Amino acid sequence: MAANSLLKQYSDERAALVQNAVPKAAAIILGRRRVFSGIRWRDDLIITAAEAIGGAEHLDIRFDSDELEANVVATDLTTDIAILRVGSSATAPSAATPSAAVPSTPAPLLRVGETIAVVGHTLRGPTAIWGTVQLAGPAWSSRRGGKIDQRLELDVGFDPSFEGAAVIDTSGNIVAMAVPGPYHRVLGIPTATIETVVAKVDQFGHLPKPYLGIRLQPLWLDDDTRSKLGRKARGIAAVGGIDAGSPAEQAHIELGDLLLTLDGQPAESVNDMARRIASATPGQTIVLEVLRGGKPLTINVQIGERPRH
Amino acid sequence: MRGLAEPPSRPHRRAVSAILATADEPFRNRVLERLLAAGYDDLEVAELPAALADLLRESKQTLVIVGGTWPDPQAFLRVAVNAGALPLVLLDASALEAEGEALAMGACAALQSDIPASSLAAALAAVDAGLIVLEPSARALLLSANRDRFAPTPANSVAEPSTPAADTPAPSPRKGRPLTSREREILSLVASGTSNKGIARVLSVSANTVKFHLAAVFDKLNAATRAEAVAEAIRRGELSL
Repeated sequence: MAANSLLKQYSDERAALVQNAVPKAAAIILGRRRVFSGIRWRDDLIITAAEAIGGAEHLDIRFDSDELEANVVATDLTTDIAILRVGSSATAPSAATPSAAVPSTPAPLLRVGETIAVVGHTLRGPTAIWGTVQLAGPAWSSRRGGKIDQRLELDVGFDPSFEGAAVIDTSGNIVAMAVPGPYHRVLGIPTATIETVVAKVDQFGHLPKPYLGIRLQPLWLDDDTRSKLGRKARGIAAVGGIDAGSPAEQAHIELGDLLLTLDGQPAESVNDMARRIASATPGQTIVLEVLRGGKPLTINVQIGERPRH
Repeated sequence: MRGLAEPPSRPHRRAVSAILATADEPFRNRVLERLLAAGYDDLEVAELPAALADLLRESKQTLVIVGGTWPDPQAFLRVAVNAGALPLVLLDASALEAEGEALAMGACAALQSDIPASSLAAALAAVDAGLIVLEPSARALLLSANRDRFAPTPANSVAEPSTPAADTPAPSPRKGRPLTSREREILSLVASGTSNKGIARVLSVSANTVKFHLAAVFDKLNAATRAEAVAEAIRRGELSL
């Protein structure tokens, strides 16, 4: 009997934790068929997976018994975070909105092996699955250049309706958003990363995307040239185009410049450059070392914002 | 009298007659109505593929109109092609695949079943004269075929003896091709986080046009998501960073 009561206690506690998180879950309806989950971050803001919403501008949201329309305020393909605003039709929120919800103390990092629940929502009601933190690594940079505060891989019985769902720990705190990753992995996008994106949107009213205005092509170096330049990587990124009026043009980057380093670190490849520019902040100044006419040259460029007109 | 009144050099209008091959009565009635309106009264009806085969054996009629839902129009089409007749296929829905399939099977025309009587008459005359007749919407079929033929990509210009796995789809002819300036413009807006409707507003086009362009972009870049498309375009030097 004691075992039974322990089991019941265990089950009740798990159910109570999920129950507590259910008011934070929302179903997001895209078109006629696709339904996935979102997190009710603040009264007016819902967080979900950017990949899931594609190019949509309006989505229907359902939670409790309410069905509301939400506007897509920002999508960040580098971190897979999308921010939706419920209700008012204003796509550009006032920049004065206080970011009061940002907690003063950073959330503790999750540990490998920790028990977590993923709490989502479908059209038939709230849903939950329990699982384990399968991998808890350090901060990482996504393939798209997104700075993500902790690498989290979750062992859960995931299905597409949980894309964008809240991940809670055993204290009932929302610690991450669940998204599908490569190789059928389930990734957690940590709360801290979401806070960073939300804060930017609060500040600017949209999510400014870093922009230099150069198009790059890889060149392959032979061994002689490589050792002469003291480079490990076989490839080097060459500037194959410069957008008119872009920060690159203003900084006098020229066609054919070969990118040696960015902020002192070797620029390994076009992908490497793309990742590092994508993780920069508009307004930030970076230092590029380029090879022009066989001679190294240092250029300071202030990262701009990708035009949205 | 009329024969004398007409100049002898003018060819006598050949009585283009046709066989309507279908047992689908509503469809048959619709087509008959149009054919009669267009002046055709020499019509045969074949309700079964075997009946069509018999008719084609004994008559000189070579125009066969195939369509409807029952029996399977493909069976009639096969019989007509095997007998060396000229089959016209009337489709109920405008599906490019269906048109392509009909042509691949040997149809001389693939048209909508609600085609106006005058167009149907013109199509019959054209097929009788040895031409192929298509809907304007089938232009895409021809263009995609032409692209394959006249602008081979490295992938299909090499005669590869390799045996492709059964589950790998045939490579799209668009894969690996450079983006157009419009496609680059749209992808740049995607990279800035703009929605499809937002892009449509910026470029003063419809959201469907944007989707159409993006489908081509995804195809060319072999991307499944917006993020993949942006990353791949940057990697190829098609999009600035």
